[in-house]
Amino acid sequence: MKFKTLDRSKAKDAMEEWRNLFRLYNGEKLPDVNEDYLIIRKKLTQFFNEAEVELVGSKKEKYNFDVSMGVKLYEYLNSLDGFNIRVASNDEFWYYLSLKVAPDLVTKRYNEHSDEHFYKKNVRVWFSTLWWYIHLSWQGDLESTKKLLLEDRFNTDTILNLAERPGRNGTYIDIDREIMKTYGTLNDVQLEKARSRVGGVNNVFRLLMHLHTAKSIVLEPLLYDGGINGYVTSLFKDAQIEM
Amino acid sequence: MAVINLFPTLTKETFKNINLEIYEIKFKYHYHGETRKLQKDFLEDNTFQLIDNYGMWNPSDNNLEISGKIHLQNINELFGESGVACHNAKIGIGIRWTSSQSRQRGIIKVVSLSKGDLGGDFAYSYVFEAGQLRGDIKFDLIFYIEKAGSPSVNEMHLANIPGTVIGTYNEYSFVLSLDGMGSMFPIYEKEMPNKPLWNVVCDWDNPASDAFSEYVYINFNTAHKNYCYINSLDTEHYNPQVVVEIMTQAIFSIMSTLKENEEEWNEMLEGNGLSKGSVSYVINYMINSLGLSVETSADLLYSLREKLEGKFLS
Repeated sequence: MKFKTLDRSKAKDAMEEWRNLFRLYNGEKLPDVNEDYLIIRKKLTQFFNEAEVELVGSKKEKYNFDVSMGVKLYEYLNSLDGFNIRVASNDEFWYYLSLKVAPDLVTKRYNEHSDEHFYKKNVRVWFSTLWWYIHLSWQGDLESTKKLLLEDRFNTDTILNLAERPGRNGTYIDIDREIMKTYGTLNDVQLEKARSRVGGVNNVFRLLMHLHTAKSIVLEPLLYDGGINGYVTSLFKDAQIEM
Repeated sequence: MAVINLFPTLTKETFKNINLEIYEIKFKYHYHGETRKLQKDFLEDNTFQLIDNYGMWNPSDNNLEISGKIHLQNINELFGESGVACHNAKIGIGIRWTSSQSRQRGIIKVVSLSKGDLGGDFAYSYVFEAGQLRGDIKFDLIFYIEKAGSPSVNEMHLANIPGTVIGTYNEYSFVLSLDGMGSMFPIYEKEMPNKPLWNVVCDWDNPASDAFSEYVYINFNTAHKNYCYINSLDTEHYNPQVVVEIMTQAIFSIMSTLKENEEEWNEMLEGNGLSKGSVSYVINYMINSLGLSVETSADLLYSLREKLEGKFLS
């Protein structure tokens, strides 16, 4: 299928149009889209509702909801004919999805004034962030990826540090996946030690990502001795995290 | 970000000493078992887009192969106290590609060198998948430490951590622009029984901002009895003149559609405030780069045919 896009200037107008529509109809009326996108809208709404049900009793409500929604969104979009990483890296595709197809869902997750999650900050557009978070955490299949991401140590701060900070010259996708895997499989004792040393639940992952950024300025992670695995091991060593 | 290295790196002088030479960098794609070469169309000094003489290639639906060769000699110059790596280390040469718009980056390994190796030509090639890349991709030729060595006392100042970049050959660096201007004119092959041989679709709302590559495309009808003349795989019947004629008519039709709105047409001609890669931007680029006459329809059609025949059939 042909994926529709919305450039920034049109996205800005669409944001205002959606706010007006929301004010008048409280989310009952949505922008006009063609039949292909009506199907996508229906699917996204279904995923949103399912993710809400799965959330019952969850400790980290928003994060677990995002993972559940993200996994479904990722699987579904990837199944659409013609969807690929080229489409996924097009900000304007996500603006269209957020503002024309399912602005009601973005509004429910945030609110109708959170422009940055609709279009204003490209790395914060909710649907895009969810897709990229799953993509950069991918562990070979959907179940393993979801299982990893639902580990207690991951939270909305992980999303921010992984998916909302794409490198200025592109992302080392396989390295991000290996960092997620290694961090996700540290045992509780190792993790607790690291946490008490750097002070704080979120600081360990943040430290790793900062080190990765700093280290990749002087050396090429993909050319490291021992390959991707060797590089990630060295990163944990530099951060003085036991493995 | 500028990096100050505390170890020696390759200089212009060293590149000269090792006689580093770059052969032509080629771009190709694979189409039903056939390998087709793409032409470079320079937009700036080191930035170019790709043109397919068959008019079929686009980065969404086709793969892209980069290949080339480098030549170097006097490899021993790179090792030891006055070189950039210690005597028993290994140096790697690779092509680093980076693209913030594709949110990806990677390395294409070219060769690994040890002291005592002979010089010569070293070839590389790499295939990007269809639908993998977007926007601009920068390519750099880098030298790096591939395997650490055991430095002797007079080699302690040399870089020795694997992965460390010890030099970038700036003469090689270039940017491939995939979503620039004329690089993409998607042609889709569709089975459309009882329909004409081809049609062009102009689906834009705002030509000054809607991407040309997303909103304009041509359909070739595979069910048509004369499809064999535009099917580039049919070597017996394929006639590039027919394809050029279709391209001429298609571009004429796109320009005529834009001209239906006088305000948008004039805005395109003035060329101010057009989004890069938009319908109006690409048409403005075509008019100027091909030197088209747009005064009358007859002038436009004639100059289009003349330029496209010159570009693709000569």
